[in-house]
Amino acid sequence: MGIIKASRLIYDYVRRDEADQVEEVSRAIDELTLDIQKGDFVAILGHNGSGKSTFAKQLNGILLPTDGTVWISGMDTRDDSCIWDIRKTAGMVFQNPDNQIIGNIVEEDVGFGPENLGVPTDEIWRRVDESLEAVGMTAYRLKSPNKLSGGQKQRVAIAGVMAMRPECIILDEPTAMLDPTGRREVIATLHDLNRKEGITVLLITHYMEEVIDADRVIVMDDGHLVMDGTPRQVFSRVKELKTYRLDVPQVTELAWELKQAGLPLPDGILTMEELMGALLPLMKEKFPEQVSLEVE
Amino acid sequence: MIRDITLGQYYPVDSVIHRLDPRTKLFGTLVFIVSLFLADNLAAYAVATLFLAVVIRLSHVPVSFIVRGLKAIVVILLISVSFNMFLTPGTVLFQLGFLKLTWEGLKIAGFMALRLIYLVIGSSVMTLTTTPNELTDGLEKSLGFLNKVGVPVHEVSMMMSIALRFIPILVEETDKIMKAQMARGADFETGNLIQKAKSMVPLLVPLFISAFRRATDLAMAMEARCYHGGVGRTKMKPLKYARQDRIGYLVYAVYFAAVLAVRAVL
Amino acid sequence: MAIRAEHLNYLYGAGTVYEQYALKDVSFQIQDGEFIGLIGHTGSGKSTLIQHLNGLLRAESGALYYNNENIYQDGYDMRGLRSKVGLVFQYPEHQLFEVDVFSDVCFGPKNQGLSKAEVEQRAREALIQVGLDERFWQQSPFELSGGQKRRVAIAGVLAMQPEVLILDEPTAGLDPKGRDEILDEISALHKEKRLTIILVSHSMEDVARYADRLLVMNRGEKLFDGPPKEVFSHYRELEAIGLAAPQITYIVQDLRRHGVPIAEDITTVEEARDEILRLLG
Repeated sequence: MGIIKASRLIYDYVRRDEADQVEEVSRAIDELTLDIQKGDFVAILGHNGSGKSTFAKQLNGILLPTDGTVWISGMDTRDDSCIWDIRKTAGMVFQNPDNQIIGNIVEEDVGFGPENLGVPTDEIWRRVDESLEAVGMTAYRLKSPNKLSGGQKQRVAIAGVMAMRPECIILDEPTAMLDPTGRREVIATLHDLNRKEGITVLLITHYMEEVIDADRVIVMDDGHLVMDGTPRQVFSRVKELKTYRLDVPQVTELAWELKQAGLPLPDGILTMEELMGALLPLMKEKFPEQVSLEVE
Repeated sequence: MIRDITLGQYYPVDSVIHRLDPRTKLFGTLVFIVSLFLADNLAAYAVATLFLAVVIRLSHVPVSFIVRGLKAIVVILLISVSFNMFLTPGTVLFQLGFLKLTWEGLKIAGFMALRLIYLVIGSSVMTLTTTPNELTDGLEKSLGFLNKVGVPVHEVSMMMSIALRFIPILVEETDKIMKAQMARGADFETGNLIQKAKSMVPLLVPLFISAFRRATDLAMAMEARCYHGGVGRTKMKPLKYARQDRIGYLVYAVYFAAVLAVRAVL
Repeated sequence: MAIRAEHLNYLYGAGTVYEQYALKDVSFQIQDGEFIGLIGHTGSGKSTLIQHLNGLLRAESGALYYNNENIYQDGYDMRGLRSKVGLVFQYPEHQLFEVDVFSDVCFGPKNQGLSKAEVEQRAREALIQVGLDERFWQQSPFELSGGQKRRVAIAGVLAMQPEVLILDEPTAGLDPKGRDEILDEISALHKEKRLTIILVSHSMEDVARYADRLLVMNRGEKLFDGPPKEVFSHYRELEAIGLAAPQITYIVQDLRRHGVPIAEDITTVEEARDEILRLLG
């Protein structure tokens, strides 16, 4: 069993009227079964309202299943006695950087989690130092969070989770409110943590460019898991992705369009290098004098 | 104008005042405030001025920055000064219609203004040199005895700390909302009081909704980081008295004695 | 001519240690009916600039003309300007406040002092223009999805019948489909209503597809001003300031470097596909 496991998970949002009578029930997650291995970098894609954020909130007990089960490291999220262990194991980063930073100074915010866990003072300092180092924010440790850019704030939030020594970090659209520079910053930090510290990363997003380096991509639609595979496998199904209100990076789209028009290109091209590698030989054939395969 | 309020802001430099234990600073502020109410002659104010000047100097906070904080109280200051000046009976210096400027009034108004200004400066020096977290930690620890009578000291200090963090965020947000509504022709300036109050609705509704949203988000984020009240919590920066704090308390004793002595003698 | 800016300067925190130019000697002209993409990363001055265009901020020096009238001259009707130059801010949450969508859209025209019938007529038209289904009109704006809120916010400004429509990152936080839908609505407003559009965005891919002309801001200064293909040919400079040209630009440039005789002025996937197929056809 992997670090995160969901079995036939169902979650209903229930709306009640003033008399506490059920007014409307909407199913956000419908019979979702999923197993995520330790050390993987997994991306969950889906349009707004596909149920992906609701799923994220199931993973550290902020929401509890209506039916079915979620296990984190073998602990059932409905078991009250495990709740703090679950939250410590599966740390969570949210969308709005301003609404999750509690401290008035960067380092104090990073120390907030360990303080809650009752970690001794010396150990808190050690963890804060290490976590800030791991996300590259040591230089800002004494700054006010209000003076940081969006990307830096999110890195502080990640450090705050890291200081609880989690095995897994779940990020619920951490880049939705950031500019392109901030987005790159956050994604690079996550890959770094995944590679160097062996942290399992579960990245929830709707930006396609952010997931091409993931180990595994999962697509959700209408509360269901509809696609699951490597980025290459998922991105080779451009048409299907579009029906789920998603998109592909421009390189992938161009390659797909060219293939549809009959050019002999491989499936699921993700990077510019791959596209060049496939396209240049064709060009060379057509324009043997002008085109050179190698340039300095 | 709201940006000019230095009370509650932190000025991030290193100084001996910054390094003092927050409890020492809280107690010192208390001593200073009490001394202001005891001081009733110029000599006593001279002692207070000296004390304040030395503390400001040691704090490495620019005087101009501290003085800017006074802008916020100018109106209160003017009102109370003019009331005292004109409405205190005594030797008339100058008369304009029913307004009589008296010597006694002038004196009381002067002390009153000085007291108010020193009060604000004194408390700003404390907040400028103490991070909000230290401040709330200091309050939490100093007021810990209230726990026994059922006051949730930890919760209240956590609330204060969070409030301080969100003040600048909400100030900025207010500015954005105002602009968004002005772009739709909203007018926040002209009109009588009732019209003005009405024109605040498009500003206050989005602001409240956003604040509630932030509050629920924050609660979720705190829970996700295992916050469950003050029980079993450790501190990253536990409060510990050091040598400078003992010196601090000694200085307070000397200062307080000096004010009392000057008051008694002169 | 709609807008003419001459040597605009604007300082933040004037007189303090934090003093910084938010706008520095910015000049440009915008003609009636243009679709302008305004690009720059956070802090480049683009948000400050758009707030000058409807008079919410006033430049320290320089001049700004709307339809050849100096908006800084005494007695200029600023509120009138704000209804001609409509500005939609980034987060709809900052402006939605009424109990239902329809009343919220009425707020702008009501402030213009129009009759009740006229106000409601305009609100109806605006809501239809942004493609918000009538069943949402009586709902609370706070219960709508992100894309719908965005539409209500745009309708709230459109109802004032502006001549210029400025949108600050109208697609932030939307999913790809929601983003395309909003951009298509904006493009339709441009084509059908002949509105002058200024679209503020970080996304080169988006502006490449819709804008006739790009203005690139960096550190308060105007860095580039020209049609997309011309601006994207400076992709190295764009990278240096933390922006990047669309991926397609890189592919075209790389193909050219290898000697492929592909046209240089290609900025969208469709153009690239057609050109590559033509070359290999």
